[in-house]
Amino acid sequence: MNAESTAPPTDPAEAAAWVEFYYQQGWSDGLPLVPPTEESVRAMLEVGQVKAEEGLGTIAERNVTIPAEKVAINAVMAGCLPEYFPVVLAAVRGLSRPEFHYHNPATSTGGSAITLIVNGPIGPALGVNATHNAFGPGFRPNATIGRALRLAMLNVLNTRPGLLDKATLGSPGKYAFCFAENEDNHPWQPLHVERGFRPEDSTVTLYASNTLVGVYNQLAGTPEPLLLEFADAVCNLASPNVYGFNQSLLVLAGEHADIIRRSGWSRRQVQEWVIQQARRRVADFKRAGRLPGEIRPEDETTWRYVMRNPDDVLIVCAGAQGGSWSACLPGWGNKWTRSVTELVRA
Amino acid sequence: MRRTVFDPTLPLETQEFAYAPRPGSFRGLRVGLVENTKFHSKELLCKVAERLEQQRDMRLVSVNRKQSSGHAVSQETIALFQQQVDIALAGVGD
Repeated sequence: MNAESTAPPTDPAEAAAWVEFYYQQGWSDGLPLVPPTEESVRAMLEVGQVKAEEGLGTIAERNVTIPAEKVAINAVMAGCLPEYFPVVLAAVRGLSRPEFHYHNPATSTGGSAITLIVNGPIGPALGVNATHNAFGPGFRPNATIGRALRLAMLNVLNTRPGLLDKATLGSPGKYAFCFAENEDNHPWQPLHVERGFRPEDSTVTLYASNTLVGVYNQLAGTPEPLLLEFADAVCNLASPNVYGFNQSLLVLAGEHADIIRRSGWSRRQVQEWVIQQARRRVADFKRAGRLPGEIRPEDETTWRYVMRNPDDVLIVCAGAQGGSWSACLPGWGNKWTRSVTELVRA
Repeated sequence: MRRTVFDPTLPLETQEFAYAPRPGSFRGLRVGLVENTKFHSKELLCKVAERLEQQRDMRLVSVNRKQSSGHAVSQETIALFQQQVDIALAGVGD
């Protein structure tokens, strides 16, 4: 028998019955849901300072305006604490911005995960993990804020597999993908300040990521060899970048962030260097069937660049201080969706 | 005992619509294409239009390119098609 003294006074079988009931309604992402109560939904709305019927945004292609109460219900089901709700609200508002163009990344066969990057004081205040295992399990804010957004996508926006989510394979990041930027020991200003917010503002950035490529380098002591790996990840033969000049997200973890900081390179230098190196020969693309046509002699010496605009290289810091790992998350799109940053109204 | 169940879904709003009257013949009808920017979209639609011209005596009169595959057809294009087009064709063409 385990300890009884701190356990809730209710019968666990009753709670399990509720969990099973919610499964049966078809409202789950496949994992157990927390059954909402009047109190838990009201607490979300109070902390979020929104009325139940308030519309948070409209997705024109889905003919849907998103009511705050529905988002609150999904946030409770995801396991959010009420104090997380302002971040969820900001994420939903971001989702609704025209430039994010929700319908594209949410519906596509590409199956992108909506990545949430939390910046500003609310990250540490809520305990949103920015360090060890920043993309992985073990932290309630990361897991439940990201999950709340996906549940709202499923239940409110009908983004259901095979229906309005046509992902061929999808991604584990579609369960939940939320982390905070590590703003300590940063080479530059954090992402939200770069995007025009004040350091004391809290924000959440939405980014539709196609996949995650680990960037391992234990020998580089200067930016060039390290960034060559990032460029290679951006322009690998399987990347959709070949056609779309997509955005790409580079996540610098501790050791690699140190290399960049010590070098004195600016964010713009890094972005431009990656742009210049994210290229392959036209012949390589043709051999892989990524470009049409016969391979001509000049294709062997003609570069095709996969990015054009340095601003499309998004760079954040996250992850543990130790280890030679970073990550590249090639984007789902560019003209079809743009990363957006939304103020958290806490 | 009655319990409150909080439904996290949003009811789907439905709208009634009517199909346009069916033409008795394809002969001479004007065709408009909605190209969605995907890799083979325009090529595929133009092939279909070409066959309609050859085999059904129809006429290709307008090719519209959407902002992206996920964007709705613009209101300007809808207005244009209402004036100039009898049949609109759209396709994926990945």
